[in-house]
Amino acid sequence: MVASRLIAGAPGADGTPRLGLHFRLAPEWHVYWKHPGDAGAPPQVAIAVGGAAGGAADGDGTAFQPEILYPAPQRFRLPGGLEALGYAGEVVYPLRLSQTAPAGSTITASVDYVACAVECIPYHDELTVTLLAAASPTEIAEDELLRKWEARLPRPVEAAGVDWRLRYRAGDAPEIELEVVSPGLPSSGGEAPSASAAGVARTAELFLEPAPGATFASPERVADPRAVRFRAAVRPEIAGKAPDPLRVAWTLTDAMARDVALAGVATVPAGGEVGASGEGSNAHADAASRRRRARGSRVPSAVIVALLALVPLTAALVLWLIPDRLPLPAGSPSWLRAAGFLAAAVLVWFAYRLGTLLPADRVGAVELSWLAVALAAQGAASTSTAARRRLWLALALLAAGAGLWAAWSPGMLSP
Amino acid sequence: MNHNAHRLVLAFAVAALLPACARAESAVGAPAPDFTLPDLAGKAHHLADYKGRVVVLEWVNPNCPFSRRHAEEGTMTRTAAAHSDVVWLGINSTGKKHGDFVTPDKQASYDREHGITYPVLFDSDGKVGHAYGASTTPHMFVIDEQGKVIYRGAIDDDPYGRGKKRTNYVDAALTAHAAGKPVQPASTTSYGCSVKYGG
Repeated sequence: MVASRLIAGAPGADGTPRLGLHFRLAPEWHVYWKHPGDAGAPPQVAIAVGGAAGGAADGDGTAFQPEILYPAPQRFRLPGGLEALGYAGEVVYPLRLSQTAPAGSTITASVDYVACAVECIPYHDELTVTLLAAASPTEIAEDELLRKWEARLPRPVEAAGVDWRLRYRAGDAPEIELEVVSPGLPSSGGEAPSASAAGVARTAELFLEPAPGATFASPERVADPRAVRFRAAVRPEIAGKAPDPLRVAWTLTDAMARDVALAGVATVPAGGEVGASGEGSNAHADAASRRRRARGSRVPSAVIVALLALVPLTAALVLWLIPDRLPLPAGSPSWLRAAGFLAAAVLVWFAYRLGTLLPADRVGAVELSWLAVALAAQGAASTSTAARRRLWLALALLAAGAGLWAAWSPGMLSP
Repeated sequence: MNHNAHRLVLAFAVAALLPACARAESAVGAPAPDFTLPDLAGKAHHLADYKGRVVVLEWVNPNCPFSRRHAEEGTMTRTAAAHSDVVWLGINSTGKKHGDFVTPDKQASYDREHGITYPVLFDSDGKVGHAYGASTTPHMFVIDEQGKVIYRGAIDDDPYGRGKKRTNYVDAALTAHAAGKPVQPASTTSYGCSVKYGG
């Protein structure tokens, strides 16, 4: 299921060994990120620097824990609405050591980890590597592999030259919203994002670590052509007591370029906002509690609005037309029923997608409006008089309008 | 009203409910979701019947190596024995179609093999597991005499069972509560296999 080994690259500038924990996994299996998600556990490593073959060594064999560095993870959906965060296929966890070791030293890593597919298997491995004096073909290959995965470590957002904002909406359904504008995704004006940046941004994913006093629901992407935007419900550990302020440690993948991840840690007060303007090394933190007033940031994208309008109107149309509003082949309306079911299935899918795009506090209102639209349209389909049908359709349009208001109104969207 | 209209309205009702099916979590201080579940002998256990006593819920899966290790080490049975006034209930939320599902006979055999004498309840449709937000095996919840959650999370701080010194969070929570002290920590990140829900 899993092949593990300890690899060593050329020493760092400070002379400390550069090590990595290399896993290759069979299909379907994964190992875990520092926050494993709903299940699993991150690896644990103890390092001992032992005696060198034929020479003196710094190490005395006493084990110590290195810092495990985590490349940007993937998200795995599990049955029951659970999710795991980790790595499939292959991963190298770079290890940061605080002590030097001369060439010829043997380094031993005592490693505990769990790999999961349908089942989970905890492993304990004792792995060793000898630091070579001269670069051998093996060491060169390991060094390249280690560099490849070091390049996948998330970059501090402060150094990435991007605009980012983190908002914390308190209340009965607290949530955070992270917005990142990369250089390819202009934050203002009518300029369209570059095709490549927009394509990469479409695959962007946000990963959140548990905060003191709270965890987060799985982040939901918010459609926005100007920025990569995610929302996540805050789940207080103590009922009704969301932390204030809230510490948010986040990792965002594919916002700037494929395989480039950003990471940030911010403390944000309830009802407030923190962030920085991307001006290279001159990036600065904004004052806490600063609120954005730009209308553009409050209006959901045209895609959401269009879908919200299309779904109830399409439902009304389908319900009105089927079955007795179309010339049915006598005695064999099965094809039409199938078409109706297909339309219903498409609508269900749209409804579910919208449910994943909208924040939790608005989903309920939109859902109710859809139900009202469906019921009103059904009334229109079953009535026999034109006047009553017009009344029902007017009610359907009213309900659709209420749904749009629930999703769109500034009051509903304000922090 | 025609047949198709009925179906479409039903589809809309389902559509409306789908986004609302986000996983619930039972936060500390919140009322513990009530439930009635059968044990291996078919006897129904109603949480509300235990009001006035402290209840520990332990999500179990005999096919999960983490659950199995704790069973073999006697972590839960020792903790339960040390707090004999506490009602300890195992809950198996594995879906019936999952490969990890065990029949009541096999669960009973597993329990005998590991000296588990507390009731293990079957929640094969996962409703109780979802109501609590149980995500791992093991996943622990401690409920006080008033029916409120006072601890949720891991059984201890040693996921791989190799630490020289472990902190048993449930034991600490029960001890603190019995002494009238606040439970600290009241919430930790659980570890282990994912609960093998049916869907």
